[in-house]
Amino acid sequence: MAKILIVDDELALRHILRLTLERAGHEVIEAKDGEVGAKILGIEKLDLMITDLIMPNREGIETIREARKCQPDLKIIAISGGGHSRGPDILDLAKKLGADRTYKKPFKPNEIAEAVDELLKQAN
Amino acid sequence: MAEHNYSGSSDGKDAIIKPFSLRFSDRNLEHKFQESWLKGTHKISRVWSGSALFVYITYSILPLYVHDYSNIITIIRFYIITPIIIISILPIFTYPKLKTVLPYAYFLGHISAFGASLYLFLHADTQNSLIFVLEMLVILVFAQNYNRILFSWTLVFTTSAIMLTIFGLLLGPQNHGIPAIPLIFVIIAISLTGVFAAYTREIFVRRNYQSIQVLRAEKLRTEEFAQKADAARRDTRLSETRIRSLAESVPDSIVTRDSDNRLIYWNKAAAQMFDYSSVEVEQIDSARLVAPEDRQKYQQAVARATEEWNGGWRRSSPLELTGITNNGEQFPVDLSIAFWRSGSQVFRTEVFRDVRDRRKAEQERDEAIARFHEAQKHESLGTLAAGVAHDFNNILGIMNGYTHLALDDVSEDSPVRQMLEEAIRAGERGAALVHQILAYTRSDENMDAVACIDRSVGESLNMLRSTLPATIRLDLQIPSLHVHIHADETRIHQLVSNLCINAAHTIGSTLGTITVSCEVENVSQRSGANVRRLLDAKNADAITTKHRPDGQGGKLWFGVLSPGDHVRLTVEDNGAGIDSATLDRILEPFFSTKEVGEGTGLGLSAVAGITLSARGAFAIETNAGQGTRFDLYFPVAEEGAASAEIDVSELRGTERILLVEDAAKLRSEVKAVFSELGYEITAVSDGTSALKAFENAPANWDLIITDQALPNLAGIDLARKILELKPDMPVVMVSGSTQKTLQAEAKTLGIAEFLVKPLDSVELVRVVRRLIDSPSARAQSAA
Repeated sequence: MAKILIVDDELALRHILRLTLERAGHEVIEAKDGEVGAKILGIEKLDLMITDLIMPNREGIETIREARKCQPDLKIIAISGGGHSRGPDILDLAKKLGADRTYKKPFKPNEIAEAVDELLKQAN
Repeated sequence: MAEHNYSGSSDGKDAIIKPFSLRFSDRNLEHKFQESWLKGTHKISRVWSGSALFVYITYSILPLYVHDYSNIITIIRFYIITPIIIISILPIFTYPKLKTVLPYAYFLGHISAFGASLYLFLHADTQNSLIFVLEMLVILVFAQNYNRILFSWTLVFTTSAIMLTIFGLLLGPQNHGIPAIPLIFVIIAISLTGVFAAYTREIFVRRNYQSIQVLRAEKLRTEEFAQKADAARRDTRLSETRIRSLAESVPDSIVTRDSDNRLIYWNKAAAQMFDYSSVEVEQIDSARLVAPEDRQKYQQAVARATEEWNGGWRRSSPLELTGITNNGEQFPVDLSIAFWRSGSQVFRTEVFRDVRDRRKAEQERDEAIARFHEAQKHESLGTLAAGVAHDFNNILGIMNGYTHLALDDVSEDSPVRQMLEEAIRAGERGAALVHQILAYTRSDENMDAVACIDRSVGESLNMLRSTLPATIRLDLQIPSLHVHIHADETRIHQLVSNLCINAAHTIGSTLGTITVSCEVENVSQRSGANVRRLLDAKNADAITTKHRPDGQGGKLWFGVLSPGDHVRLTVEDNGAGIDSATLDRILEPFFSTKEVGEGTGLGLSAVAGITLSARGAFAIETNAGQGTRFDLYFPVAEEGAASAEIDVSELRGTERILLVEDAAKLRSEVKAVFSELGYEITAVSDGTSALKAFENAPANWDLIITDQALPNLAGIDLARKILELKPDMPVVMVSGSTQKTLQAEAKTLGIAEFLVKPLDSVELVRVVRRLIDSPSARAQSAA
């Protein structure tokens, strides 16, 4: 029973994650972009955060940075639909800069659920 | 044509000799004649004059030794007359100075001599009078025959002498004893004879002279004419040589025929081009130079040109034909026909130009243009694919996600379950398809990715084994090479799977073997035929094929190799092989020999794309009924390349950056990267907002990154305005085009750096860091 923040600009994806996580018995808070996410990070004490990386109004990377600042013990999962630049993978970057796990869309909800369980176990 | 020629022509053939004075009617001729007369008589006159002088001096001294002469006579004769005579004769010795004086001197001298003799005769007594008569006669004869003097003067003298005599005889003293009338008669007779002689002589000389002059003039004219003719002939020969050498040195064939189609001229190039000897050439018609199927076209063209020719220097526009040599070899020619006239004859000149090379060049150019368009299409396709893939992945994610969740809610025995499972499988296939597309269009490749090929291949084959039917044996020869290539694991997996799936497909349901082997090979000109062919290829995406004559297979080469160490990956099967028709299209995207729904048709396109990204090349060899073999060559990569951690620490910073980019995703991404590294980055989506933000607080910004293609205000104009306000502001321009003019303009403006999309985010950060850290570098790059 953990408090999980989902940050993604896609409503449907948030919904899928909510359903998946609630079925696993967790409490879910949604944020539609990094800015809202950052606000929530400032208010609520969270156990885990799942964030998309490419969003308008403050990216996932920034959100990860924010999270690391105010809740350093927070577990973070980053997801992405693929970058547009021919550079090092943005997921790679995310991992190096604070995310605990990264997933490429399209992902299987079960995988995410399993990852959440694993990470929460680690925390405790 | 009896013209009086007063203008002084040297001809004179029309001049008449005036009957009385014996002068020429042509003044010029007369003058020349007189000159020549004087010159001609010069020498002999000296002799004549010398003797005359002797005679007169003797006559003047004579009286001194003859008594009965009064002194007065002697005085007159010796002291007066003789000097006069001498002086008058003297001009005769000189020429040309006193030649005008000459006739007068002659007249004066001789008439005074004659007069003196006459006087002496008249005053002499009968004894001596005869001496003086004889003297008179001598002088008369002498003067008349003096050939230096023109007849006209001779006549004057003679007339004067006769007058004097008659006058003297009739009026003078009569004691000389000789009867007057007979004497007068004798004098006149002698005069007439002399005059006649002089006349005859002069007229003869004159006529002679005239003839000579005429002849000489004719000769001159003839010579002149001959010279001109010679010169003209020389000129003609020279120009002929020049034109001939021109015609001979030209590489085009020049054939000239007359109106009866007879061969007039045929240059060296023609003999070589069409391979005829000089003997054969005379016998053939121009139509024989043209391939049979074009002969009618040629003849029609000649007929039409002949009809249309209106006598000018018109040349027909070139006609494209196929020429044919003596040996039957055909080659493309351009034919030009020109007509020209010489006198009453009309000639036709045909120029054949061998355009083999030009046609080939044109073909190659067209091919190059086609390839270029293909490449452009490919690139835009890639861009499209990248965009689609991203959104598609999102969509698939949503679909898959809900389907999975639905599956959880459905009971084990519900019929809906199977449908949902199918839906999920379909979704996974969709994701795989997107993956293949991205691989083929190389849209999201990681340039720095490096992976250990033998390990990746091994892993991939392990996974594949289970998916292949049991009838197919997988023979692996993968040693532990620990060698890396420029591709990541995922891509290597994709490549191997695609090749093996294709191999399995050609084997079908019968028994078969797929052999996969891996080896390091040094690629050089000493390598096998396939490798050498790949070394010699021209472009990285070049495809060449060579078919079996029976169409049951062949070879295909893709890509280009550079010498050096390579990893050779071979996938060989003993399946059905590939026929020539299929081989031609095998790398075409969406081309598949499988049933609809069985395959994407992207398998080998993806393999080509991955090979290209890995800077490799491959060769296919296939024979229908026997099998197919793929030899892929990848240059060995340094292992260190990928695992090098991006040393982010040195890229961190706190500077304030203004980012102007209208593409939302890219804007987000760049902003993400920079803000993660600590920068204070503000991102706007158009030029006007950017300008406003800048103008509000120009000192607030450390660096500007702007795209070129923006709505409202273009990047270059934005940059210009910013640099006007703050000339040392580092501006980085990003553009999708590699236009040199844009780059040049950016440079002259003072834009610090110009980057071309697609962007490498880390590279961008490095550039930004560099520009902020060294203002001098900024100044240098802006210079």
